[in-house]
Amino acid sequence: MGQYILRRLLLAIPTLVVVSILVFSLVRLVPGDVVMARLSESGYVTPEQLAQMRSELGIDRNPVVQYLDWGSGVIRGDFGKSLWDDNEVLPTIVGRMGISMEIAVFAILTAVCIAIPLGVISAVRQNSWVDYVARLFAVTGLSLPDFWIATMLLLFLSVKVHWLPEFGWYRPWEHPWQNFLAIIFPALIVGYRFSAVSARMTRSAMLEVMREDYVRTARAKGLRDRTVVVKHALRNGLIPVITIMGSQVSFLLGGLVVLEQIFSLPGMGRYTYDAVIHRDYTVVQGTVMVMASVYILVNLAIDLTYALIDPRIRYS
Amino acid sequence: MSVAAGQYTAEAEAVEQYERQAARNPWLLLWGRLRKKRLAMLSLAIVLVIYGAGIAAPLLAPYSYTEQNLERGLEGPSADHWLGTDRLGRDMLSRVLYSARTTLIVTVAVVLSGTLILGNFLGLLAGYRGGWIDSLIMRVGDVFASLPGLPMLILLNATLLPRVLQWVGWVEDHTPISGLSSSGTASYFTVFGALALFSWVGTARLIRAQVLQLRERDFILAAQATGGSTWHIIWRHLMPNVSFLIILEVSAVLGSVAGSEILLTWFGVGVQPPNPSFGAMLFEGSGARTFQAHPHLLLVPAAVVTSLMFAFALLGDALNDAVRGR
Repeated sequence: MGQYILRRLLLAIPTLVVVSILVFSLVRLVPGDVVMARLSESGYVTPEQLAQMRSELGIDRNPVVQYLDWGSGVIRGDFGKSLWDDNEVLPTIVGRMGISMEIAVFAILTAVCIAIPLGVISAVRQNSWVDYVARLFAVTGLSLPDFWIATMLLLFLSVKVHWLPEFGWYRPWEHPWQNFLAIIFPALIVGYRFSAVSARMTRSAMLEVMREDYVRTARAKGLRDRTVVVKHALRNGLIPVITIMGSQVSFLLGGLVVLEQIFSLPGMGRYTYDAVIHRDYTVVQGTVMVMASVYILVNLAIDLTYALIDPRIRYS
Repeated sequence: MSVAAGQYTAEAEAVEQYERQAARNPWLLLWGRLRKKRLAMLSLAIVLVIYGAGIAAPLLAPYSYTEQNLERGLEGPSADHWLGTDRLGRDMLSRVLYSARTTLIVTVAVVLSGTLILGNFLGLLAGYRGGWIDSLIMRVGDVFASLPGLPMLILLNATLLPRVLQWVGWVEDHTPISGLSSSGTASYFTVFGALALFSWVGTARLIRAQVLQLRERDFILAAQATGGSTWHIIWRHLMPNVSFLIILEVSAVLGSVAGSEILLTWFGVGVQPPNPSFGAMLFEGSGARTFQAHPHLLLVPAAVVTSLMFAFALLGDALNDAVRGR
């Protein structure tokens, strides 16, 4: 097992190197640079001033030198400073990621609490009214884009209820209630979408598993329905559900950008988006590298979870 | 009695004939199964109507999508403007028809290039050839999969759009082709290019996994033994065996690509104004005050988008069931 993890981590290195080259080049291909973005509001600036600022930020050097300089920093855990506001990139990413993670955790909790029971009942009572309601729930969640649900929700709250959640983010340990109000709506919206995807997957996986011989054997032994479903079937039925959940976790880090924008939450997605707008090379590079690493680690974790759930799966 | 027996024989013959045809043409079988699902047929009809409206937009639209009439802005539905007008007095019906055209162009282009050509071909090649070709294709896929989708799409659009505009300008200056910039081709190209770059990985992985099993089968060994070339085997022997997977993948990707185009445009980095897109229409109509005063601005595009997305999801489900024989 240890060897397997090590091999997977080693294989991730070339992927991350290519990701780093790709994002380093792409962000420099965006027309304009951070100096132009910073000075766009300050009126006339002489070409000498522009050149001086570029040289201070080090973005006038040969791109290869810039890449090696930045890359060697990343290896040492130093992601550099933001070109836009001079803040250290890594600590900012950690802070911003906490916000996105908080939403992600709430969303996943919502999804697990709704999707797994719903998917299981839907499969066990196939073609009953519960099944139809569950499938309608899933199709609706899959069809409606996040931003659309968010817009409708805000419209409903402001027009009908005459109340809007407080926009912006509050530290959970200082203002727990405001923090909860700020993140609960985006979390529920994402959670609904996740529940839809996962409930559908749970239903389909359970339908397959319930027809397996070992489930029939368990029933033939005279076990109660609940025991057969929960102890025997669900365990195997969960494998594809975990894959789906895992892929959603990695999506969440960057994919929340739209909801973060709508609800004014300073999460990871918005940090990246603002950095693209500001041509803040170091921040874009840093966030993309961190998100790619999280994706790789989450995938590894999913593969290891399979072995925990299904003892037949062994990695060597 | 004899009549009943005769009926039975006729029915059995019809079933047998159908099965014989189905054995020769599995698509017929699939269509037969799909035709029995009422929801699937309704969804297919919705997709066809919206896509058909997109194709026929220049014929159907009563006005040009850019034609402004500031004196008649923000009007509700009337005999002149069936679905009302927007802030600039542009006809909403024409905007909706042309937005359907945008969705049609982007989804078809992405699905054709990303899913059907790139994803399918790379998946077949990686699975069948194995070795370094497989490793290379799958590692490149890993890189794309590990990149955060939405921020990368925003970055790619920011990078590509000015370059595509430049390139389109060059093409217009140096060739007899004209009207590319004004028709919005550049922003369509950008959105489609960025989406296609990311849409192939899932398909390629799926097809590869299937081909890995298929290539060990006797009929492939036989084809190899008789000297079939790689292209011949991929095209003639593997392709027909993964075609159902491709259908499922296309039905799943269509909805998500349409959603991504709308989202990117809503976010301001997709199809650029004045080219119409549901994303832009939803954005314009979504303020609380705007909605209270002029609900048609939001309800019209929202109704079309919601029906289209529902139709894609239901059709995908039904196709999945039909392929699996449920």
